[in-house]
Amino acid sequence: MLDSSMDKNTPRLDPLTWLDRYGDYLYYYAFSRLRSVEAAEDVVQETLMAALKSSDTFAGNSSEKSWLTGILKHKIMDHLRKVFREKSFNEAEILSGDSDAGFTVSGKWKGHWDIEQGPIDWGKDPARLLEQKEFMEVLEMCLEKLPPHFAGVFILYQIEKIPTQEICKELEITPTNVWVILHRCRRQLRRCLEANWIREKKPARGLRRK
Amino acid sequence: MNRFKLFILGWLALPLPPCEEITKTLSAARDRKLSFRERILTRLHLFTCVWCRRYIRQIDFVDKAVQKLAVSAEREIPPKNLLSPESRKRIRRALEED
Repeated sequence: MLDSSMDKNTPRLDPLTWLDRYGDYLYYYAFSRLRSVEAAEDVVQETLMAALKSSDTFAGNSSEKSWLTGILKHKIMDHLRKVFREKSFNEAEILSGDSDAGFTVSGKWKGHWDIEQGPIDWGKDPARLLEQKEFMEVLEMCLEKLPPHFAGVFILYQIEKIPTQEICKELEITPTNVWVILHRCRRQLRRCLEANWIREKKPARGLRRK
Repeated sequence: MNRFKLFILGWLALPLPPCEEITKTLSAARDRKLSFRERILTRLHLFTCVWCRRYIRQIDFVDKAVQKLAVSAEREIPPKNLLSPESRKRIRRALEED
């Protein structure tokens, strides 16, 4: 009788079933933030290992799932920090790889939009696109074209609403670099969506030249 | 008329920071307060440039779309995003060895 009441009050951890019960959830959680299969699998493995080692710190005031998710969040940050540490950073490097961004490259109008490639009109109500499954698939495809560690920062900023100062501290990068990373992601995503969705759907409605 | 307008706009836009700079400022503006100088230059630029006006609306939309993607991610896991059986085995082995 004592045993059964103990069972109710102190949740038992069952490490052997974690992978089966939460593997897919943890993996998708990591993947939707890191946008890389390998990175997501790595952090899931690290999370489960860390959980195994520190299972005695499980306080029991949260569910197993949210406890594991908490560890996973830290591991995602650790992963990004490691990637950033290995790469050197300045603005030009962050923006390189996206050189064909639609700007005029030389002449009097250098740095201004190329008249053929500048943003076109997306119509009155682009918000309705968000309801379309195909559009969201194009968005995912575009996210996967970003360097994964940039996408990681962008997504954490957007969905966890982590302020940039905190991102800087966690990832040990400067505020300017964070701003340039966010800028690069927005710029590239915008252009990718325009090329693969807006222009595809409305081939006749390019920019009219006056 | 159009030719005249384009001339005026071009004359106004040329001494201003180019679109490439402005788009960077527009993105940063979502996160920090712009300086007085940045605000004035950006306003003037936007006044002359329909592309950058579209750009703001569109990056606003990009932000919303990414947030929406994350929300739907909380609900269900698409079959293509399940942990693959091979990786599952590999992780299991790593856990057992540990």
